[in-house]
Amino acid sequence: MKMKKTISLFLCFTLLFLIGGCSGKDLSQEAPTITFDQDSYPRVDGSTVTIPLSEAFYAKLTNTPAEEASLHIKHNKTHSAYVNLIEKNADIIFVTEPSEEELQLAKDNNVSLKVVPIVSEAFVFLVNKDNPVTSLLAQEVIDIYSGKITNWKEVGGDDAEIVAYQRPVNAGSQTGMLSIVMKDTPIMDAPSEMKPVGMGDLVEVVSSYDNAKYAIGYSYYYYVSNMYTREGMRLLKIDDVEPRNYTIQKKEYPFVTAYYAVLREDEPEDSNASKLLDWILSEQGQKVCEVSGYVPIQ
Amino acid sequence: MSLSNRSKIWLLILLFLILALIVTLVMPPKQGMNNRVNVQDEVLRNPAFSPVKGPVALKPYVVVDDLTNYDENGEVNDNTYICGLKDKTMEDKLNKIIADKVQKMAEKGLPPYRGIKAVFKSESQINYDYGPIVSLGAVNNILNVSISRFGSYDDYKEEIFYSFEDKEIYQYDLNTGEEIHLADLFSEDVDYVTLLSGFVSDQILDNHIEDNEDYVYEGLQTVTPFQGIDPNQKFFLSGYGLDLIFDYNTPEFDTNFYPQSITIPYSKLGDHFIGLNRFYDESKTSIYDDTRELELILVPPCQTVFEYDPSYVAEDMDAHISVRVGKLESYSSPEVEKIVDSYLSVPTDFLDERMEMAKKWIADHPNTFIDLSYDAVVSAYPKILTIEINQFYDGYPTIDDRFRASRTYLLDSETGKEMELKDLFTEGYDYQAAVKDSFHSEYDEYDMDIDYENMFSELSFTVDSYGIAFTLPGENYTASSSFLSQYDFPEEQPDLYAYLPYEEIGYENILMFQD
Repeated sequence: MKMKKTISLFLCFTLLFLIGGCSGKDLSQEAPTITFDQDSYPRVDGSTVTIPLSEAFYAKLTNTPAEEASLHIKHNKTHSAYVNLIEKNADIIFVTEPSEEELQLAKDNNVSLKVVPIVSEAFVFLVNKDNPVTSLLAQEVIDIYSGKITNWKEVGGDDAEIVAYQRPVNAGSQTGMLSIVMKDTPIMDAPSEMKPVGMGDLVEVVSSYDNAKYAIGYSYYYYVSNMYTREGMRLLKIDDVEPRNYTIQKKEYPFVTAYYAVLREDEPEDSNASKLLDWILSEQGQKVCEVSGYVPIQ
Repeated sequence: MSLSNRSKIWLLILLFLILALIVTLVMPPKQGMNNRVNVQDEVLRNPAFSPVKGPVALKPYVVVDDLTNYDENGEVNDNTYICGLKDKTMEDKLNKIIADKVQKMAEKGLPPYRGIKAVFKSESQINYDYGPIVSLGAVNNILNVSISRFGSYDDYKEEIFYSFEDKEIYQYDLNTGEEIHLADLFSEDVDYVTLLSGFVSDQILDNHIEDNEDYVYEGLQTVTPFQGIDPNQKFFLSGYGLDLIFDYNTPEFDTNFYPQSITIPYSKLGDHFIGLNRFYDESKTSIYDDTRELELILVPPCQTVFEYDPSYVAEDMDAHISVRVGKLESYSSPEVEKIVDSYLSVPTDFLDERMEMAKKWIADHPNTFIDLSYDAVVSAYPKILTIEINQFYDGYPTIDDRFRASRTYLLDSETGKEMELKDLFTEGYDYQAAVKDSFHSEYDEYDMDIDYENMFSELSFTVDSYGIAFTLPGENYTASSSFLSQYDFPEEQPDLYAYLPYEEIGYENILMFQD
């Protein structure tokens, strides 16, 4: 009797496993709802960080294998992409928000830009896993990096000085730190040894067991979640919200930003570029974004 | 036939595992991430080589030869094949391999760089296509064969210009003709993929290329997070270190149609890097014939790490002071480190004073700027530490109290004691004659009055991987007008420089090359 029960349970698990493994609806694998060929695909451009996205779109919508698709997509970096869009050498670009300079360039050329977020991104904070602090308020992060809070005990941790690592001034994540987190609050000066030059260094120092139990550092979610899975590192909750795809997507996590698709405002609704944007924002398009390692916007 | 309950369970488990395997196989791979081109799953080690276990000591120098064929005038005659080996059968065998590889390269189409077909719509639009160009050279009996093919697309109407380079690199053991792979450069008891990936990761990130488009290492940007090198990554060995080559085979990077390289100095590769020792044994007879003049290049045993002091940069004014200090990653003892630190200590009082002068100058002279730099750097060579202190102070337009000053010191790396010029040479070598000759050859055409007999007390010197550099301060000779006419400020008699390559001195005469 006991044996029959065991076999029944095992069969149930097997069945559940097979259902879970085979019948889950993966929209990214379904036939695309629109298609292009090599010639009809819109002229795209963009930043380096969105190249995988752009390649995934092309692969899906032209039914091209991923490796072959990568040969057909050329991104010329953010500023050049904006210039190409404004000068009508590109139809749609995948980039960060336009700068003042780029907005002015558009204005000078009598071009209005349609800026549409397509995937979410977040700014995350890293601590050593042995640090008892697992969550900070957004304001506490600002206070730490402005030098107002200097000891972990002030935020519920051990009586130990906070070792707050920064990036060099011109590093992209330092720019993000200032614009997304600190905003109008000046960031404190950090000695040069506490400005690791690379993102990897930052993750390394924070995850090290030997000397960084009380360190804190920061990075973009895309890089940390994809690049390193160090055991010694933990991502902090902010305002008690853990940085995860769904909390970033729903903007429950406080420090969020996005990557955008940008078109010229006068792009016809039935143009291929507009059709591409509509598809990116569709359920299937967003699934492709997710499979490519990004956080869908919707 | 009836099965026992236990057999049924095992049967079910087997069925489950088979189904799980089928599900795994039919699940499509994740799209767009880390799809390497031409990746070979197996780590290649050439079984022809006997296993070597680490650690092995870093040699003080590498032996290089370009293996190029020269004509009677010393011009390169042909560099598509090697010459200069004693074993002509081996030479023929390698030249046949090179010719085959060149032929294969000539038949290749567009290299599969990211985005290349967005630019080159078809091969017929390539306006300019030449190569393959072969570059040959050997380091410690490892032959490097580099074959490049170039093309470009120039659309003058649209002002669009793109070019590409496809490069294949091969290495062969000059003793046996066997192909050498990256894995063969490391002892079998080290995870060289992890080791090298760590260096690459550090260097990529140090250049801020992971997330920043302003401070890019132009031509090599991460497109997706770096996941590690290919076990069979293309590489090149130079006199300085191991160059890892990144091209379309590493899809995490956008290399912009050109292969890019990251150099890892030999000293950083650790004692499980056996590449310099495995194929070269100096106790054995040379594999080269007597026509070859091999060059020996010193390998720095330790790297210099630079620190910048930002406290002197005044952002709100046009006075800029750059202070850079280069220290070694490690020292032979704390005592030596302390001694070196004393040489490298920054004269803050002096810089503060200059900063005040600069501010005053700017206040009195609108639309000008002052530039001051203070550079103090220690470098390591076998048995020797060099310390160079360089100062520069000037403005635009140029100021009256401008100055440029340089001092160099050589220390014994074991004791920290200052070395004299004679300490660089083996006993009995007439170094003074060699130094005088090098100054003669540099300056005799200007008819200068140089006190050759007493110059040595004023002469400063330093070393690098290839030779010894000498500086004779400006106040120690009488310049001719023809010489001074080359300079913007002839009233400030410039220092005189000479350089003696180790090759010219003779390696047997230099202590750094001796065990």
